Amino acid sequence: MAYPEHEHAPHSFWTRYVWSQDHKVIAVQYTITAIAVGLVALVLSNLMRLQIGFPGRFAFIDANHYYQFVTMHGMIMVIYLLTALFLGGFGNYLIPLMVGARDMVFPFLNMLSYWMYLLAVVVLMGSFFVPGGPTGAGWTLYPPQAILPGTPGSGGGIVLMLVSLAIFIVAATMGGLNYVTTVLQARTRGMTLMRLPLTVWGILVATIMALLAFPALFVSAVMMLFDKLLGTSFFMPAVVSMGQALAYKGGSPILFQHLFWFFGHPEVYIVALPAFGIVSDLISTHARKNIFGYRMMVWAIVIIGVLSFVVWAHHMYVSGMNPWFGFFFATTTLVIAVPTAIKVYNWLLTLWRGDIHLTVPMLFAIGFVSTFVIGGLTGLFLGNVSTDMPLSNTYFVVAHFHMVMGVSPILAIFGGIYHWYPKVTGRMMDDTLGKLHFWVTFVGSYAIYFPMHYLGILGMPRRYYAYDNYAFIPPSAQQLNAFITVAALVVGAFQLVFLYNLARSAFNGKPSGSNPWGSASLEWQTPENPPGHGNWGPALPEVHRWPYDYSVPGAEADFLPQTSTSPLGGDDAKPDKDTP
Amino acid sequence: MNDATLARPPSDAAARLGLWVLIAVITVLFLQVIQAYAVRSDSIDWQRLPALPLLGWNTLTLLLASIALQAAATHQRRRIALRAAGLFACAFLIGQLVAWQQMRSAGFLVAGNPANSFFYLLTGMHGVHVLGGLIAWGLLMIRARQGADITSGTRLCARYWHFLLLVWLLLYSVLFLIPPATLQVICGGG
Repeated sequence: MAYPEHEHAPHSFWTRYVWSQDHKVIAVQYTITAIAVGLVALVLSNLMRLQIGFPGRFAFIDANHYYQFVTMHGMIMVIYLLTALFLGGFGNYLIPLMVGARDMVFPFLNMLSYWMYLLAVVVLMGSFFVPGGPTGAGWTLYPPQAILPGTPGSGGGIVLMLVSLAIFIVAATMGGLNYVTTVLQARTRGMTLMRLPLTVWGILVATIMALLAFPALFVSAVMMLFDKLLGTSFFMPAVVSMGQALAYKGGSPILFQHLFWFFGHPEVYIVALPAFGIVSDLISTHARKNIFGYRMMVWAIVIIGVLSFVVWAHHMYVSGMNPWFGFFFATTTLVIAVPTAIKVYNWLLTLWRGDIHLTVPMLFAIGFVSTFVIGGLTGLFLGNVSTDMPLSNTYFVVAHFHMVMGVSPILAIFGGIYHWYPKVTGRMMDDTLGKLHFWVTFVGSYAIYFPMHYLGILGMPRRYYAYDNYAFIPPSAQQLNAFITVAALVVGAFQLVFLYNLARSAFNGKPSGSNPWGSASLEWQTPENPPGHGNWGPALPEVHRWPYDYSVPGAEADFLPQTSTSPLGGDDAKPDKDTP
Repeated sequence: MNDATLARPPSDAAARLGLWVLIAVITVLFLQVIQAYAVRSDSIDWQRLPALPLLGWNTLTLLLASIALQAAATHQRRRIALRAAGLFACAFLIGQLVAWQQMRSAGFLVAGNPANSFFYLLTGMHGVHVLGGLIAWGLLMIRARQGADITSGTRLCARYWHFLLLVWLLLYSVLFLIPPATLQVICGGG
């Protein structure tokens, strides 16, 4: 059997690690870049907490800087860290290995995707160095204020932000084409769709959503660039700015909001669905138990993906709309709770009477379930128009979305990194440091965001630079804010433990062997670990079962790999498996 | 055997699916702008552009490019048909640029009226996608010169061109034929 890839394996340093077309290298490039830019966003969040916790103590954080920190923190975290890391990092690394392919279907396009992503990051970081600094329009970039003088970074900052977003979307589309095509066309023999690990399902559906949702952001970015640079009035109404009537007239800021949130809400699930998938696989593997209700889990992912396209206007209740629209969007929003709750129940039922190993990845997975439930529950408050109105501009919303799409996905990412690190490097990450990292991050996240719910109900407005002279905010709120800031600084500092662990273990970690977690799914069944170029040696693997055959009665080992031909166990689809 | 089908370059089926996914993404992209067009056209300052005769000729060149590629894909004098397709596509792009010039000299500036802005935006976006298609066409020509088999590549190229033709016809109808009020009804009102 010819094995052409092996002869073409790149040999020089440059083709191997820099201009690489190997999905594994591209995944690592994506991951490292995303983590680097995420660190910037982490520092920005700490700076803004310094201002809120200890107002006026740090003179260099003036109001303009504060808004720039807020904006860049939000945009970097959502797009350049979470989206890039889940799809570009995990998607790239895991899809070919989990479906049994030698690489992505279009490797050159895949390489191009990374370099475009890097370019987007560089352009975005460049905005810190232009006159006026980065944009401070808030991560939603609402016009008209986003491009008018008076908003920090309304010159070069906003232009670079919009250009960077457009480049990112091109990069994400290139990657997305690959992920979808690879999952649908390059699966190995026996790997049916209903034998895919839920990680692949989550990434697949998230990718399809990204492909369909990002164009809306692209369009709004390009149209806003027209408004800014060419003086068109797509979004810009007639406006008097700084005492001067501008040439704009008739544009619709609400139109921008619709376009933005038509992207923005699916975006929440673009980062949530891969997290769902990863957490499902971690829980099943580390509880040594098959995932409960596999088919239901797949359908829940698909249904959430579809529903998330018809809920966007719940971000716009306070912008005003026909009450029937509000009714419609509140209903669709609350309906999402059903498939989501199914997933949570299935995770719990997978854990139920499982042989739970509290490894670091498992801790993060369970932590995810906890934070996601908390964040999801507050979503029920905010999905309702009548309760959203008073809460919308308060810290309650900050607490909600940070729990549900900040902390939760990042916990899933950490869990995933600790879990697949031995696959990537052949070494284990340090367990003690990992547990320290988990507990500080997990408990610290609650310390940060739980009190914010109270501040929100108290009516403390979000986005404000300072809270002087608001009679309804009691002094105790300030103490709580100081506490939150201290917690945020501690959690921020402890991420260095993770980085240290990540870097050090690559060279000094304990050798992991080929399958340290005793995982059944295909990516752990490669002939070499870490896998070589082409992944599978001379012959592609053949798959005979689903990836969740753990603790199968009668089997010798406590798991049956997907490549096992044993008559025991088998797919979720086979009812009444007879056990000898 | 799977090993053979997974060897590079990507199998026909994968390339076909990849193109379909790309077409879906581009469709959504244009539909988003058309939706925005429908919403924005419901304002008092909206003044529709006159259709230039040149745009009709441009439509014809794009149609000819599509036909030539279809001919190339079905093996009729492939080399000549391919070259002709490239030529027609270039003619289309040049024609569009001239149309921009004509619009500008007639006083329809990009910021003059939202209808003008949408005209430049939509034609510009479409032009960029034609340009992308020309790059694919250029790569195809290079591979043909190297003596590689370009049967499936030509077929994909032809499909993409038919799609671009459809998009252009849709844009032309939206910009010049369908009354804004009808479009607003189709798109669900603003």
